[in-house]
Amino acid sequence: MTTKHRLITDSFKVVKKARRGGREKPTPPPPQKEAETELVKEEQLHRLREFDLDWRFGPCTGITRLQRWERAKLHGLNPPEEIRDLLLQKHTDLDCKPSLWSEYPL
Amino acid sequence: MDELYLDNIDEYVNDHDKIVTYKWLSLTLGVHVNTAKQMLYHYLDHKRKESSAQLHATYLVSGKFVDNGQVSHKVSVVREEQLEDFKAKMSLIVSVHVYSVQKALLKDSGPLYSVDYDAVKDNLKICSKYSAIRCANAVPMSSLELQQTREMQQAPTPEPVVKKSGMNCDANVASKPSAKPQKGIMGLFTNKTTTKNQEKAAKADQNEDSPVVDASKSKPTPKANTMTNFFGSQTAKKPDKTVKEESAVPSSSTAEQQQMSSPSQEKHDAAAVTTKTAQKDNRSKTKRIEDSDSEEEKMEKKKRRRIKKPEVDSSDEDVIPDSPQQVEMREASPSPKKEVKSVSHDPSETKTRKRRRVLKSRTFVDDEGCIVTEKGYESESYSEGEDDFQATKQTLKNPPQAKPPASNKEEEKKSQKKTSANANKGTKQASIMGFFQKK
Amino acid sequence: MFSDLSSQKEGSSLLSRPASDDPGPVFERTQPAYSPCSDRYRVGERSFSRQYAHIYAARLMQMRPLLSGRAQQKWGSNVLIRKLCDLQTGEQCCVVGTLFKRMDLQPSILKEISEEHNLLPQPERARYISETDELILEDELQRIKLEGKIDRDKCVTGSIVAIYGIERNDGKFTVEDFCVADLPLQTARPTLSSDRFVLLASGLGLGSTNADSMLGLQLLVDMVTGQLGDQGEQSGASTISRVLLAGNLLSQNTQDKDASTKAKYLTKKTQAGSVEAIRLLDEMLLQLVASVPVDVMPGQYDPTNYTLPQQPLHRCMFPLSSVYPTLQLVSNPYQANIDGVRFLGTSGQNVSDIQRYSSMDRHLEILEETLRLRHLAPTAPDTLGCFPFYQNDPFILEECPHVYFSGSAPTFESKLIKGADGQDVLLVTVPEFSSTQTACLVNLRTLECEPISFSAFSADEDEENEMNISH
Repeated sequence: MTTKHRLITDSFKVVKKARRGGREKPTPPPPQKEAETELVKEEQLHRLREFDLDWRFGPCTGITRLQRWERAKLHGLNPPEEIRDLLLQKHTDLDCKPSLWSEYPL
Repeated sequence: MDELYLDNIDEYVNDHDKIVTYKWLSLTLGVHVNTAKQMLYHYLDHKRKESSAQLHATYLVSGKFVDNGQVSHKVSVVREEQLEDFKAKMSLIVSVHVYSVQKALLKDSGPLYSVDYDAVKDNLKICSKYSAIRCANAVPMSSLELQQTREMQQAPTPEPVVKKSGMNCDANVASKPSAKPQKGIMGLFTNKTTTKNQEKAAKADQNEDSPVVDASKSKPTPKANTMTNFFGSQTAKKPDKTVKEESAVPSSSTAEQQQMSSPSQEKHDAAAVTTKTAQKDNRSKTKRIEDSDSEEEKMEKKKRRRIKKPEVDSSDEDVIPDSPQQVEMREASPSPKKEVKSVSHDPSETKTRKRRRVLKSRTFVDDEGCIVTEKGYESESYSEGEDDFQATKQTLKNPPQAKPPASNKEEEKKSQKKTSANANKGTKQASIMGFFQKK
Repeated sequence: MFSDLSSQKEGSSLLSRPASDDPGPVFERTQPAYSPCSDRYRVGERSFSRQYAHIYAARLMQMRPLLSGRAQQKWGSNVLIRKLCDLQTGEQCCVVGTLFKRMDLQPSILKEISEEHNLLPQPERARYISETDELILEDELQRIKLEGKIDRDKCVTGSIVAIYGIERNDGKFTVEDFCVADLPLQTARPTLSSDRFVLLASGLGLGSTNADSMLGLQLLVDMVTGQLGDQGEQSGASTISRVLLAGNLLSQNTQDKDASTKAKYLTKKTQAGSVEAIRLLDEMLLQLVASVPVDVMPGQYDPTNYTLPQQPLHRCMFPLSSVYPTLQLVSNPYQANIDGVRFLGTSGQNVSDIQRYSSMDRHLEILEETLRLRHLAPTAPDTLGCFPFYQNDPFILEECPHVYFSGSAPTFESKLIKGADGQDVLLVTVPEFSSTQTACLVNLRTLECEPISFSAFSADEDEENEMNISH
């Protein structure tokens, strides 16, 4: 019995450690971002969400905002350039890539 | 031209009781197809004049045929007695010639196909040698050319395969960890394997207690990637089928794993040297391969059951060669069998450095102070001259570079999914599996 | 005509003794200029995580300008083009949108599940149209039911059309006229100095249980490779500059439906039926590619992905023939320029799917309809498997082909149509070879097409003849 217990705790710890490691990486950036103006970010996100909701550019689930923007451009629908600039400028920021609905299951 | 062929045909038809088609005759005597057709006609004519034994012939008639206003070109094989009827139905006759001569009256045309099929199958490489059309472009490519064309074809699409990691549970786990956690069961799997494998790749340290597996020292070619993934995902779903597909691309010898892997070692130097001869080689090789195919398959299966397979961690997936590559390798090295034998049996003569994979377990204290024992593969290099069991334990920095023997890859793939889990409880699990496999 | 071309008699007859010093004629295979252009049908990243909504959105985005243009051509440049959301009751206008046909009989997984709740099982049907079908037009935001002068049974889901009419008080739209995108523009075809042929064959059906058709196939191979026939025939055959195999190389029988449901240990030692068939195919292809360039398209029953566009068969399945540069494993749909003549076609899934969901019966008619709709496979992804594209819809025809074909047809049919802008298109339905023993030859110089059929005697035929005599 005791040996089994040890095994479980071992594996538990290993898993836990791995998770922690995973989380630590993303956490450093936010404090820096917070240092920037939170307001600007909100404003930008708002504009992106409006872009998501513009039906002229087609459905937005399952593809990234940039893909959707490029599709609209390809078919001559004149999507706003500023959205693209926003997307490219913050393309490292993950919560800005997929659309508003990405959290919802298909 | 002497008329020896009349006796030949007579022998085939009367003594061997064969169906002699023009194509079979052309391939057997090595004459132009049109000559063969004329020979058959001459023979038939000759025999009819003698009016000795009963002979039956079939003819080929082709021409313009009008049916319900639809004009078509029609090519037919007909029996002698139908010949005139048929010719009458055609609105324009393009060609008429003897198709076959045989003793028996043919009920249907099935046997004609079988005869031709066997003849062609025996002469696959020269099947159009005696035909009336040459095609300048239809020259078999050498292995080097083949490789080039394949690289060209695969160059544009290496990226996509990497991308699919998110969806296929067994895909390239080493590729970038997905941005956000996967949802659902698939997600769970991918994440687990990812972390485990990364751990493993990071600390390439394991130790031995299981059968030593030979590994070749050939470097993995990057393009193996695309192919392997293709197979990898297939195997995961229906391993049985893939076994067959792969053995349809036959392996050159019925030899041991060692030999299987050896062609690849020689690949690099051999490829360069033998490009010129490769073309010649192709012919005989492919044919031989073709022949040994079915036994090959059985052999391989048996072998698989017999040899206990230690699991390999899935980071190796990248390295498993794809089957067409195998063919290439074989073509490149003229006599794999021979060379390998000399390598493995005369260690004194050739002291080649080789690389092999060993299952090792290693105990260490991790960051949190827990004692961890890990088993896993490690590839080490050793030279042929040394005794297998006291090989220098030279740990390589880059374990995925070692390549498992070709014949093992099936099991490896099968096990890839569970490996990371299994690697720790290793042997016991394997023996249970073995019990089932023997059935 | 191929027969006329081949019938020039020259040299010695084959019904004579061999001349002592005649080595036999050898003709050089005509080599056409060839450039494949099927890249748009290659699927790079294979992500199936997207919904199909994107395809319809992209299709409408891509085709709306075309349809608007056509509408202005047809109903005057000042015709009122509305979106559904701006529609005013009683106003005559034009709307561009995607057709959707609501069909009671369309098989549906939801219905199948509900059958578990004691509903009657749906009978198998050859086609699913019924009197209760409703035609609906959709655009980005809305949908509206259609009535009036539009042939409900003929239309299929997924086609983009422009309709002209009035919305009634009951919320339905009364169609007075409608138009489709019609043929795209065509690049001119060069004039060729000599007759050259491309042989199209489909549905070889290797691995089928009846081996009777095999001699026919062998005759086809022998004819193309210059073994059969008189010198004239052989010289004619040397002008066949390319062979195109349009899908279903393997028979449906090679697919073992049980294999996926059976326990693994039961199937362990059984070989998939397709293995032997692929070996046969490889041997047959070897004979062909040693003498002529061959394009091999996969079809419904071939071992590649099921959804359109089907990706090329993998060359590792053809160890013998794949060493020849003349073997081209291509996608389905397939597009290529052969001597400046643009070929475009599929293995026939798109056509037979439309056949099931519309009143159109003949493959040729359906083929023409898809050309007019300017869409290879409108019913994908609704009833035809299709990769979830999002950026654009590769099945929209951007350039008009000269030869537009579909495989696995029940019979051979062909037709030369002329477009409004001077396009010449040869439509060909390539018959299933295993059942018809017929292939077809397209003359690249004249764009004519003729069937070429093969036959061999059989035991039954004999009996038939005897019967005829006795009567």
